[in-house]
Amino acid sequence: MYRYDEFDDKMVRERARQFRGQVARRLQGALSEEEFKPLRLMNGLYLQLHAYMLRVAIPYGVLSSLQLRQLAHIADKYDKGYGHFTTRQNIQYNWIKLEETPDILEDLADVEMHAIQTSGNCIRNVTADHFAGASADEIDDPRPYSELIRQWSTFHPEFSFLPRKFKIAVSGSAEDRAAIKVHDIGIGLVRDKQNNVALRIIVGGGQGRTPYIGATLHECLPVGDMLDYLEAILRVYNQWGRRDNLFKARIKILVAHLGAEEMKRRVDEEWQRIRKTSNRAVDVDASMARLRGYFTPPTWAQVSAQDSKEFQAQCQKDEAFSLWVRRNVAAHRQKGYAIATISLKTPGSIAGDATSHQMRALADLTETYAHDEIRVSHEQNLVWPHVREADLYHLWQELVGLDLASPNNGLITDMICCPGMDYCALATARSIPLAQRLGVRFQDIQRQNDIGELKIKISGCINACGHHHVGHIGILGVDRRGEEYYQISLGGHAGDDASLGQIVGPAFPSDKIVDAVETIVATYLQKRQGKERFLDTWRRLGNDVFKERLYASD
Amino acid sequence: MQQRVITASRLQDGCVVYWRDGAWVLFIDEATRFTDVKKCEGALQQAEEAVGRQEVVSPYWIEVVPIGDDEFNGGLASHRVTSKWVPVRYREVIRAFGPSVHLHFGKQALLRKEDT
Ligand code: SF4
Repeated sequence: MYRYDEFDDKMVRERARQFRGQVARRLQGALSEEEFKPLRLMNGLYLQLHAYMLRVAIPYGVLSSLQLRQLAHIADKYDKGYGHFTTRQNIQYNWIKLEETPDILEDLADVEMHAIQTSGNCIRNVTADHFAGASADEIDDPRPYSELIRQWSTFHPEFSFLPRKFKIAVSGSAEDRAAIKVHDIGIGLVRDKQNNVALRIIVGGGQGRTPYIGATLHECLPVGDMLDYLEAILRVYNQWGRRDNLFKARIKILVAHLGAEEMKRRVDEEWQRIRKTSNRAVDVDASMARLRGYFTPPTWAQVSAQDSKEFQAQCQKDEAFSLWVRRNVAAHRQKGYAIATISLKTPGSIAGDATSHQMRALADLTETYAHDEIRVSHEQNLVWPHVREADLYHLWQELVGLDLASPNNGLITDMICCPGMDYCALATARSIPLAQRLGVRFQDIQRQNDIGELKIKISGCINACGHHHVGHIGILGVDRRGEEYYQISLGGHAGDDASLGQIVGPAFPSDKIVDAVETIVATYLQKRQGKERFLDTWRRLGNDVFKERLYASD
Repeated sequence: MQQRVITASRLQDGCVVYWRDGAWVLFIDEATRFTDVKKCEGALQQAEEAVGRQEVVSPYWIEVVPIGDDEFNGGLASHRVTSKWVPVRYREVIRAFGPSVHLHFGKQALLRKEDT
């Protein structure tokens, strides 16, 4: 894991001290709300429906047991004993007091954490594949790249006041698990003709009011050029991105307006200009070499043939464990090791929520069994990237006791769901209760497995924090004359073959939406051919057949 | 019959508060209700002065109805609270009582006499 150096440490502590002064001046009246709001947002502090909400950055989703324990401590001391893991691999606390926020920032600094760049029109916390450094299909570990981008972008004076927020995601594998095509910049690690690692740069993807799949600006950029190229993109955006209209200010609108070709021309022009200057800020290759040192693989334990036999025997003996292994355990590059997904989606629970008790227990297990590393996925689950197969049975039993062992990874109840109107000031409808009702309706695990891979994603407003545009079934909560309605889109997908969902028809009232999803699922089961997943069937048939069934009685 | 009350978020902790004769109270039932639009606007002006005194952030008025009114959308049942007045908009129901998914958090936890 990356460890803070003296500069990082000084920076976050100074930031906490600075914010203490700002809060004091606000409470004394020396700062008006207008003056204070941008300052609190720079520290991840929002004013929501019931209280302040603090969004804490978890760079590329990586946490140590010490950090997770501190997050539990913050949940208990300053909030109501729980936290909410988000689709940006962050954690949010919903019941924060303004006057206590500086103390929280200091507590975070104690474990090398902060809330910087979790809000405002800057380069936000960089996200990455949650299987980084572990998955069998990895080209290169995305964490050093993400860390370098974090260091480069933090407090970058040129990019602190962009037209709008800016999100970067990095994926290191052939399979895109970081949704890189729906980010302002998506970076995919690839191999060039000489078999060196290179970067595929995708720009202008995004969700929200006007969703776009990003355009590839560079197929194979040398790693050494990464920061110059990012700088060029950001400069073009800073100069030409719209500042007159909030809804048209994201880079996706600029790319759509200019066209990918013209965008590329402008970026290339700026890139060449930067390359010619003698004061390029960072030697990327040297920095990467230094940063790789923080992300060396753990010392793997010896695995015996007996271990492997025992694991197989446990799978055979215990059907529930076997089910969990099949769904929630992924192949690790190291023999005898596995990647385990910890579901924060027990049907009926709140997607992404974890209690302080669960966090502490997970921290203990992480320290003992998982090389002290746990990840937050953008799908609002937690992941142990490195666990011994031989420990899986014990870990699973512990997770059962913590109510975190749902074998539903990638299944219909593994929904992404934003906080919606229960907490969020921008919401037009609630999203959590709908996810809970869907979870209960589809909780039968046999049925879930029969349905197979199906991703439902729910947002409580057009801002699309719940990624509904890329849900196989995407659901958007809307307000119709004071009533909660839910609009369905089908066929969205966030992977390498990303696609945006298509709206299927008029929105459904709250009491009809669960049945509508049931109708969609039933239609799929009836129409699927062979081993088709929901997405395959939809791509073959399109919306029409689903539409007919959904609106048959109208 | 719809009436208005003035609401805001308390500066120190973001807690939802309501205007009552020049002060701020926690519960919507205790708020001053206005039937006269002019009086409501006058009070809102006063409430805005409280922003300058670092008491609250962003005061505004909302519509409320007595419980049982046909226009009420059923929010109270989902929050399992007893209240004489409820906001018309569901967003304000959630602010007034708490999140519908965490019934033990927010004002509803204080308002509920018995957790049934
Ligand atoms: S999608 Fe809308 S309701 Fe949901 S968290 Fe984002 S802003 Fe809030």
